[in-house]
Amino acid sequence: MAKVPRNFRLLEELEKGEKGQGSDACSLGLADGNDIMMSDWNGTILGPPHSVHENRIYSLKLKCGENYPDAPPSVQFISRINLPCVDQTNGFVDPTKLSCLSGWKREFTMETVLLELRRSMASPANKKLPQPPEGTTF
Amino acid sequence: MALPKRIIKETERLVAEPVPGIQAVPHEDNLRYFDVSIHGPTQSPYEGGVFKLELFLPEDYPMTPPKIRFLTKIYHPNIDRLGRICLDVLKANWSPALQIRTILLSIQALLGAPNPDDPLANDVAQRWKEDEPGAIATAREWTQTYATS
Amino acid sequence: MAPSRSSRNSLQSVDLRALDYLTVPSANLLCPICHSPLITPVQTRCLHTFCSACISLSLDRSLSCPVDRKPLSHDDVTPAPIMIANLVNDLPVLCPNRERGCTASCARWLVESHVREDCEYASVKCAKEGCDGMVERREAEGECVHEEVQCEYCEGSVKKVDLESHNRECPKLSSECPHCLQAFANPELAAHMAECPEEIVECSASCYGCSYTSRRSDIESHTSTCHFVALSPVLQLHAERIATLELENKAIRQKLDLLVPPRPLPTPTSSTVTTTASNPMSASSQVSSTTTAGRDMTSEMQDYTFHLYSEYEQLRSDVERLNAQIRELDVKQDMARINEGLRYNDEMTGVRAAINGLRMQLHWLLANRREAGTSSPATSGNAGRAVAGGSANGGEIRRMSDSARQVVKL
Repeated sequence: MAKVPRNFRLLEELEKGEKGQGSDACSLGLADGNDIMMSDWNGTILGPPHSVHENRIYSLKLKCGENYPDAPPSVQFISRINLPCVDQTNGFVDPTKLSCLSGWKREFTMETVLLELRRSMASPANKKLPQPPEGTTF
Repeated sequence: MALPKRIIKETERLVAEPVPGIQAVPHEDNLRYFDVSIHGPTQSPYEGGVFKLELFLPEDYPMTPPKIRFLTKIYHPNIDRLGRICLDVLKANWSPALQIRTILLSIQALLGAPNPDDPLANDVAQRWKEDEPGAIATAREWTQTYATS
Repeated sequence: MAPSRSSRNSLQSVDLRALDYLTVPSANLLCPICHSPLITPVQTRCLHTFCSACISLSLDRSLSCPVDRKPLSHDDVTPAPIMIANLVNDLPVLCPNRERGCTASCARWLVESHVREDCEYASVKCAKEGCDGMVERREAEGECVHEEVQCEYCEGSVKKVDLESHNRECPKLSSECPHCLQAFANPELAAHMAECPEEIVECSASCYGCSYTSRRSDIESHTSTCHFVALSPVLQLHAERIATLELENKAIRQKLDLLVPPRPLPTPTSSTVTTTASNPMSASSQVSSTTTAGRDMTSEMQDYTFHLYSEYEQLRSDVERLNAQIRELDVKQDMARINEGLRYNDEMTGVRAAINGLRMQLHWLLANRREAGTSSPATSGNAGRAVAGGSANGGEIRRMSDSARQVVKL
């Protein structure tokens, strides 16, 4: 199988977002539309229903390094959230505590990460965790 | 799967008989991924600039067109801020009888003949239509700033 | 009894498109799509020739001729003249097992049977009963090479077929260093190679231009006299400094680009006016005053540009912040709209279900009434009233069903 290089892979992910083919539960966009290397991304996750996160919108920052997609992106919440995999001091997602980051595969995309985070919000263990007030940021 | 014969042949020919003003070198670790440089055509605002591009041959090439984009910033109505190129032969008008070299030649020709009526970078195309001398001056400036080492 | 040699056919498949040709085939015989000599050539209505597989793949994606873009369908493709097929089938090719050592070459149409039946290097099934391994045909007669045997040195178990490569790595065996030709135990070879005194190495200052190379054991004596090595700390320092300066230069150039074209200079009238007012008499002081005014002017201009620059930066950050906010609002609005839509959908399905229920009831009533209407004349009692009631009810029902139909239509 042809190995899609980093930049073309990121373009694919960008175009998927631009054409609205992605999931309705999250969105992705370039942080800087002039950044030819497409390293920094903004993401949002719509809180899953039937949980404390219902109707909340969480914004995140993702950073794709040189080795993406061989290496996972780094993910940081901007909106304050109480989740076991999120560092409560700076919002960074601990890659060892999110299965798609610890067991990263080349086929995974940034959307995979956002959807997995959303699933984690809706998991029985996390869906009732007390949350900081809506709109606060790290 | 091994690299299709056609890609090997095209690569060999690109190296053995390069097109004047165009260079394409495959990456050692991915023979479908090329570093490309194109010299701006003479008599155009891009004259004197050397523009870097990247090119990737997808799995079903030549049934689907190569993916290609500019890495050097360029002020052109058919090239957007991320270097993506609006060119019919790269999209709907692709034909498997086209090749890497013909595509690169079309891109070089596009530099010589911008087409603001079929734009990708909307603000640039707008300016190109309203104030062509100004737009050309900006294109020349950008070439100076970004495309000369 | 092992199957006879001739009946043991190779299952190795031959990719005709990957073959190497003995001579360079004429460009006229190449398929415009795969760039190889045509395989099962076909011809289009517009008289272009392709491999059958290539054109059908292309037509699956776009119904036009790849060469002249004329409209084309699968039905417009017919086999090419036999002569063309014969020309390409007769081209001499090299055996696909060339890398394993087969030197045979034959016409292309024969190559498949060559590999299947003759090629000594084609993979065939191992002769031993019950063994699923593959061997090259020339070795098929010997004993099975897929049995595990013990390495006679390290006592690990190795397949016979892998013995040769194992011997290169076996920790109990030794190999020769390619530089000094001495033998070393395999695990120590890598460590030795890194410091072999016989290896030809470059001077440590080769990156600064020294072209001297010698054996590693002699490089020491060169290093002590090499001018490049002596200079290398200085050169390195310079290289680093140049790099930082280049970086700085780039930053400065960017700033400069922001400032050019410069704004019209503020006229330094106020300062000249005050100096002339305070010292209007002597010519010499006038000169000095103009120079100070000049100095004032440059510093003032600098202040002005700095001021402008900071203001510009501030505006830019404002715009960026606003952009981010707008984006966020957009997303929020989208999400809200989606939620709203979902809620409406729910409500709609609720309403639809209710209407359906009503319709069912209505049908039931209608059927009931009709039954009552038809059976009533037969009943012995008050027939006339029943008929009158029936007709009255009928009218009413028609109206109701009309309105019901309307609701459904909505």
